[in-house]
Amino acid sequence: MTELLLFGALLALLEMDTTYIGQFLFSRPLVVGGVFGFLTGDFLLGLQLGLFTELLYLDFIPIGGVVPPSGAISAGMGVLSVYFFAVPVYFAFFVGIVFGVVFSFIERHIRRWRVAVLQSAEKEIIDGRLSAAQIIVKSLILQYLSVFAFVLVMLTAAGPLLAFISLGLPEKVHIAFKFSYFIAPWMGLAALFISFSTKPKTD
Amino acid sequence: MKILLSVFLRSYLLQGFWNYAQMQNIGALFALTPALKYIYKKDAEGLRHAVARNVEAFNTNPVLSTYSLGALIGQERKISATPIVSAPSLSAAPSRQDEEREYRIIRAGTANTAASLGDRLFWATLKPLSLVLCLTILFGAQVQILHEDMPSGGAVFEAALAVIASLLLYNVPATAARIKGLADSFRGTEDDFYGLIKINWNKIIYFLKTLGQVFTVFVIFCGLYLRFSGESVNVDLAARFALCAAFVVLSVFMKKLNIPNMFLYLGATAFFTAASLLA
Repeated sequence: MTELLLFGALLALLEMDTTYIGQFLFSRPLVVGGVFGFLTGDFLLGLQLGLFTELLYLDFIPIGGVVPPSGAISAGMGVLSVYFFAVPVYFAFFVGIVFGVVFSFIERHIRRWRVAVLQSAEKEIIDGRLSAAQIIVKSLILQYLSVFAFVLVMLTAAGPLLAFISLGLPEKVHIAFKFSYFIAPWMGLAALFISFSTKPKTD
Repeated sequence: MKILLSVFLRSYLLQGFWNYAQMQNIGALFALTPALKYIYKKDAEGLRHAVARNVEAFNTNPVLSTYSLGALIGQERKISATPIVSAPSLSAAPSRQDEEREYRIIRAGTANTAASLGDRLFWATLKPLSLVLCLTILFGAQVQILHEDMPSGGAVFEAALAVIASLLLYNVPATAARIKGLADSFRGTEDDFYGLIKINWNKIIYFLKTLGQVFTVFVIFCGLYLRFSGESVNVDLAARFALCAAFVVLSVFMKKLNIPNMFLYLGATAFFTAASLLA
């Protein structure tokens, strides 16, 4: 349980880098996968999961109001699913993607909450009753706790269920999941090439 | 100097209260607060007006945001130095209202330009390029990272180095751009658009994108070689290779339709599962 709490705390911290703090790319799936792979004893496996996730998410660019699936959550939860529930890596990858998508819905709700408190917050800031620092700290704490709670709930409730499903799946389905896992990075590499192909006008 | 350093560090929390309505407004105010307090240290009412100006909508690329923040500090100084004139004046000197109007123009103009350049340079070019660098190092170290049955152990040191190198490739230019952005825009004028046109950004983006294309082709061939070199050629391998190629082509086609690869992967998983159960 202590391990679960510590991993959850770290994943929530890394996820904050996606949008809210720094954006140093510590939240990129490659880094998150590598970090959790190292902590759980198989650095290369974590790195592979992170790399495949990153390649698959390449065509999501988090600009403006776009809320893409969380790469940090996908990679982190994928590695932790392998570690805690011993699910095969190809199944953990799929599970991580699903968790990343689910989290993006929660993220949208948190952003809507900010809009709801914004008007009164702006008034209080102008009147000097509230500082920008105070509201940012409150918002960051809420964000952190939301990610932390999400990770804990998913790992304690959904994780064992997915492990049970994975064990019960026929061999043929495992082969199908494994094949999808095999093609995922190649689709990503195609996207990677295309991402460089837009030629801007030169001066 | 101390104030600019504080603004620079605070710019890392620009998106700390990102919201759909005014986007980075609270983050921008938070970053500018030390400068505003310094400029209006003897003018409480001026500070109140400055805060009200700065809670207006703001949206830009976080890395190049300092170009906008520095320009805004410079303009706030002009506003504070301009006397409030209640009656119409015959003087040619700009009034505080003129400077405030100019402030809004600078705020929107620099933010939009920095957003466009920063998103193209950092999100759409440097981030994928750092991934290409990581893959190049991994393949150079013969790490079978694209193999679905990757053997555990191996070149862990080289793999860690690849991750660190990719982080550095992004963060070193990003930090340099943040520092340069604040310094140039603070000293900048309308003539050089607050430092934003001192650099030929399009040329840099074009160069990096070309570099990215070349190295991606290299990485794809290296990946294919590493993944398939040890396997004996048979029907199974040919079938897997053909299906993989088909999905790559499909991925390119989906990209033209703006459908992310994630949906293709989920679709492929559903398709293969259904096919395997029906077979």
